[in-house]
Amino acid sequence: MIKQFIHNIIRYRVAVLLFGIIGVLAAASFLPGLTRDTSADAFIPKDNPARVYREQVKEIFGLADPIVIAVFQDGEAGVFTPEGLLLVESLSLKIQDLPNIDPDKVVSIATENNIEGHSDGMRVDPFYDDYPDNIESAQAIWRKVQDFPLYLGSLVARDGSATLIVAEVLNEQDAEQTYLSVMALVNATQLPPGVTVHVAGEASVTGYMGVYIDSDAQRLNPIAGLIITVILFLAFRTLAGAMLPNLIVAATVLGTIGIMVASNVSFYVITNAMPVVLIGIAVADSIHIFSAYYESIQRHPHIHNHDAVIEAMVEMSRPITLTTLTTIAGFLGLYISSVQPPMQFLGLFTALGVGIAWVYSMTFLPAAMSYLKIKPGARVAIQSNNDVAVKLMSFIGKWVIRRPGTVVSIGLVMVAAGLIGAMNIEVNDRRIEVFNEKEPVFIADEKINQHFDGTSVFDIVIETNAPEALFRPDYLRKIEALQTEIETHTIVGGTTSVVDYLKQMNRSLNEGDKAEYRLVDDELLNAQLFFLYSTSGDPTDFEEEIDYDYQRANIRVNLKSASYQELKPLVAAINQYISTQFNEPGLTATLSGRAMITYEWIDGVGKSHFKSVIVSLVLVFLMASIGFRSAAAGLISLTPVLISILFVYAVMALLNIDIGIGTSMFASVAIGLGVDFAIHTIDRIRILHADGDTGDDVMFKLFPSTGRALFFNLLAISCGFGVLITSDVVPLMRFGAIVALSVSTAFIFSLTFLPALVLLIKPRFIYGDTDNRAMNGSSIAVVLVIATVGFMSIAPPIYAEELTGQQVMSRVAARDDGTQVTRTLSMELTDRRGKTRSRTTRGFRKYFGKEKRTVLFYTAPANIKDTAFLTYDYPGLQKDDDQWLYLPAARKIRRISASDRGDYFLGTDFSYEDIKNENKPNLSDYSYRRLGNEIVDGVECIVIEGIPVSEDVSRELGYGRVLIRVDPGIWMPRKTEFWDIKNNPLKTIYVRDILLIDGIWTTQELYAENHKTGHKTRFVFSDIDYEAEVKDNWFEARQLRRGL
Amino acid sequence: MRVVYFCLLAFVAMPIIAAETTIIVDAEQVWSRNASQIGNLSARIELADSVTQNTAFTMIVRAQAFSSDQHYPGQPDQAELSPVSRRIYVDSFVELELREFYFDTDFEKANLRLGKQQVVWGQADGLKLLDVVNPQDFSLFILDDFDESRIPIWMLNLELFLPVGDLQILWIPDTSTHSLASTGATFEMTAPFAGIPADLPYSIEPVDRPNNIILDSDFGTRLSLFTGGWDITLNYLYHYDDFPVVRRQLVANELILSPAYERTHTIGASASNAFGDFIFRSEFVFNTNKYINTNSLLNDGIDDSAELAYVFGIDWTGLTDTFVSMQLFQSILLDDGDYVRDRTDTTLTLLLRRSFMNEVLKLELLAIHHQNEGDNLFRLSADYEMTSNTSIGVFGDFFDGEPNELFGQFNHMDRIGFKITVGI
Repeated sequence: MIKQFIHNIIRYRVAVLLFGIIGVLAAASFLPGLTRDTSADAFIPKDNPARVYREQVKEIFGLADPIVIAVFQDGEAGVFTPEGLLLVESLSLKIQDLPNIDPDKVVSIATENNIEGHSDGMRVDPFYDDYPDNIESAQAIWRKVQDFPLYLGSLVARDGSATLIVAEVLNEQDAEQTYLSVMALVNATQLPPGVTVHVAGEASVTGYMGVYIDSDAQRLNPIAGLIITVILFLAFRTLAGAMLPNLIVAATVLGTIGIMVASNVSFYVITNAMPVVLIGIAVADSIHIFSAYYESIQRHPHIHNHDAVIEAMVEMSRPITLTTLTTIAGFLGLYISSVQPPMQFLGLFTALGVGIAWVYSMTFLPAAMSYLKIKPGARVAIQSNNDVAVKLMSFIGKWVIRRPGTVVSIGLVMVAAGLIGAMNIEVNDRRIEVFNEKEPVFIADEKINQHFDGTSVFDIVIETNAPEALFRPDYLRKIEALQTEIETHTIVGGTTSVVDYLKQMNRSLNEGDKAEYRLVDDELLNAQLFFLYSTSGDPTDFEEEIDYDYQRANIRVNLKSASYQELKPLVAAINQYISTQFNEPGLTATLSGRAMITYEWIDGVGKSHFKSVIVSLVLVFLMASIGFRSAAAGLISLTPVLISILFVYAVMALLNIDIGIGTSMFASVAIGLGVDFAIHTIDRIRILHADGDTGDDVMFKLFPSTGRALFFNLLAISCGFGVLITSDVVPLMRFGAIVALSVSTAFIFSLTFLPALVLLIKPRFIYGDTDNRAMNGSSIAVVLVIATVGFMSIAPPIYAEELTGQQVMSRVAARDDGTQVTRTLSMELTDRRGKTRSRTTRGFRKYFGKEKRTVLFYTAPANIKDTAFLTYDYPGLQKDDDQWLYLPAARKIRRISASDRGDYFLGTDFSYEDIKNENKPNLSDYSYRRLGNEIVDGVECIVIEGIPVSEDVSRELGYGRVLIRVDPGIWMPRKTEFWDIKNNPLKTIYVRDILLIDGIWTTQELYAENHKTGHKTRFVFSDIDYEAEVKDNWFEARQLRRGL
Repeated sequence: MRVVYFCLLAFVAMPIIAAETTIIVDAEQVWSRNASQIGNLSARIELADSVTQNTAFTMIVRAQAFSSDQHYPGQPDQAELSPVSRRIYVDSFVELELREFYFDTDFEKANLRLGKQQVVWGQADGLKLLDVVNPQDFSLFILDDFDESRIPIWMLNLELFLPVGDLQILWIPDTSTHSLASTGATFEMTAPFAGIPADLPYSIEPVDRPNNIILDSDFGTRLSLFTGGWDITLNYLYHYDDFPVVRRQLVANELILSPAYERTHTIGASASNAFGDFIFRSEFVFNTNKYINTNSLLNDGIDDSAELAYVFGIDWTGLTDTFVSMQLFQSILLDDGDYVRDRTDTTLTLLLRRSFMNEVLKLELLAIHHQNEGDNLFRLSADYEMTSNTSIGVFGDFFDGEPNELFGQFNHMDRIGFKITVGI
């Protein structure tokens, strides 16, 4: 069938070539309509709540991304010299005139008003009221600014060396042109001696990124093409072999991008990776076809050219169709699993491009090749023994055949290393790091961050439910407290809100008294302050801080860094604070702003990465299984890419490379490209086997032929991606390096691990007929998928602060119980008939940071001796505890569930929770209330009632209510009564025989009485020692098996 | 019976020399459906003491007396065990065995355990998968406790405590293999090892056993990790499959059976984690060479295949005092062949356990269902802790299936019994 098809292609070759060319030209005709979208917003779906909210906030407060121009001046007076300040004024004026700049939103010391106190009240005047044409008035402005804390750090450097002009752009889509015109303006300005001007800010980053990436791509893509041509020439040593594949490449790239433009899809930052990916894929098909073509000429020197083309196509059509399907599957995996539009489009259109490459390789290429002339006696560069590639591949082949076990073992070791690496990889990125550190915008960003509160901002929007509610002193105090809380974080440079203005106004009213820089507890006065300001200043001055009817306000937070890893804990901490300390009916706070958008999309990158790996793997597996009609073959095809991805994880973990915008896509690309090597290898082994070759013969033939073609295939792809390493766009550079590395690894393992595996397990899809195979294969597949999903579900641990509860119980919880303790515990269990059973254990407890580990070894009676119990108690509720039980009769360490905190511990009347907590409450489980005092064991105790915070917690604990008698002298409960979830009396625990041991209050007896069963448990602690050595390794699971 | 008392006395006297001594005496009486009955009295003495500051020894000795000579009729030669690992028969009713004897030496970041010991890999219930280091005693089929049925062997067991996890390295010069119930014994296995055509005369060649302690030694390693809440192990064992491969040749109308032991690489892994009330457990084993009898006499009636086996288990503890566990075992021969067994062999297990009265009374049901042939094993037990040191229990084991099936072959051996255990 294929033969007939190719035959027809050659027969109608003129038409085929013509249609091919017209198709490309038609697609390429759309290219001039290409639009570029380099904004970070592009990475967030339009309906993402964070993005929707930010758009609303922009509307209310008129916030937009700014271009920030910093004017620095050397010298003692800093920028507060006549020439420095006049430059600021003239730049401010000129910038207001630039297109796409909002003239009302150009803020600088030259445009802003000062709020000053006078004997007759408050006065609002421009800072430049006294025109700074001499050094005295310039320095007077510096003094005014120093007296106006709002602008220090945000508009003026705290040391006076620099000041900013902040200009907001009207339309962020045109930021590129605006940035260029600001740069042109700055460059055209004659700078006084000692003055330097830097341009940064979000709009600059967005604006410049477009130019930057454009110039980079224009430089790189031709280099990639050139390098690939050289490799093609090395491989085939003929002009046709070097040029024809380039035609396919051109058709693929132009066709794909043309269709992309026609579908109204923008060119995003990461779309730059697409041409290189397509070049690598398009050229690979051609390399294999040409290899087969020259091999066939070598086998039959007198063959007719058409027959050679047909033979080559018949041989290669199956593997290249298969690789096309698997590669498409890999990229569709990226499309399906990504949440971010640029990634989705990259996946979708690369998949389309792969399809186009296949169509052209199957039609256009044979049609063009049919015009070639075979020169009799011409040197054919295939399989001559002098060829370096042949020698190299034969050497590798021999090595693999001799040591299949070693090769497989190495592969498994790499899998293990990769798994460990993958668990240590972090998600992180900073948008500014797209730029090379020598770029002016990068330098400007660094410099401004050094001297000011930071170029990255996010906003906290305060909303109330009534107009003018923000005059309320209690609300303003809360905003002030929130700002103070936020400023404790080191990456926060400073915060600004209407509270700061109110404080300054109050101070002005009190004749500039510094002690009056504070909020006043008078709603009416606050309203009057705003009114006063509006009479003497411009009422729109507060537009960015508070809305017109004083219902909503904005806190702007300046950050020293927008790195995700630093942002993450900050966002978590602020959200935690807002939900527990700030929000109340009628008053809410919500995070928004650019840094939040960055946070959201990098968060998305991390979340979708592992998902897309799995989806791609599954799709590629399905394609390969269907193609080979064997699930086992599908699975084996995956092993090299799986190893290569894990290997890359290991390398990333080793070199501290994070998963970011550039690196997150590598896995899907690597799966799509890397699986091709495996498929060609397996297909060839099968064909050689079917041809009657057996055992090692297959392998000896495999390496010089398919191995050689794959080698040049690899060279083409890895050099194509290697070119990206020279990119100035840092994420592209990383992406190129990592893909080159993973593809090379996949190549190596396809030609070593895979044949070795085939030699070892002799799979049936190669060695025998194929019935019944698929079923077993699919059960293996299920195993693999479950194992992979299981592994991927290992999320990095999340720690959360424990909630603070009522004071007494907090004191109890904070009681010192030593960082470690060693003790013997004798248990007496007595049933309702008075029959007693006893056990003895030796126990150790130690804190590892906030994590508490406890281990208990049973030493008697003989029947249960050597039973051991280990628990890791993690702080907070986010992470379940880990628990293990060792049963000597089975000699097995078993994981046990830690979720049933209310279950009784090994037959005692203490629950697992009681045992773990040791008289210290878990503050987040109950809400506590003080009921009064009561005498227990002759000591006056505080009676505290605890009610579980929710029904779920109540069910988990098995308690509906507790009554705790706390001894306030030692902050230890002396007696606790428990009720079950239906409020029936359940049990009472007595804490007795309390002694001070090694400076720590310690109980020597715990007695529990179960009122429902009549069962009683007495714990007697002895040999208690807080100072004896407790080794860390006693808390390892293996120690349970080893015993004491 | 005097001999029994004498031996017990001797064993009880011995521990006086060691610092830590534990003695457990078990008395058991079992009635079977085929009207046979057997009583068993066993004493297990464990001694432990430190030799130097870093070195300690452990010695476990077991003495057993049976009321009837059913499990190993007569005094078997124990050829399947290496000479240093054999039991001592006082007579055909009484046996003594050095179960374990090893020295532990602790180093800063390592531990060396040298001597006769048990090394347990994996944690499957009821059946074994990754637990391949020690051979097994099948005299009670799979009814005996794993701890008792595992044959301890002499080995070097080095554990290195590396930053990534614990690396165990095993060198096992002891060439002992599984002890299969001998001909005429209660649990003599017939079903899965058949393949001898009826009424064909046959003779058995001497068994080709591994016997060179250097060349035939086994080597193993295991890496244990605890990461992200998962307990993970990666295992490797280069060893002799502990079941013999029986090659068959037809020579002059007589079938010649030549049993031999064959080597294989076993690559394994296990992973477990807790998710709320659920515990997920899994084990994977890949054997490079599994020799399986085929239905023809071609190729000596043997075919070699790679084998993939795994178990997935889910434990559930959502109900107070109750433990429910389900496991799926599957073994897949990866290569094609006309094997006597199915290429894919599937077994399901269900374990229900519930304790009452503060864990004083425990009831347990273990059901094992062999999917391929539909035969089953049901095991019921109840244990009551009378005092701290004494417990009594009743149990029943019920086989279900046809005589040519794995569990069905013992259909006539359904049994019930009671047991008293006293710790001293």
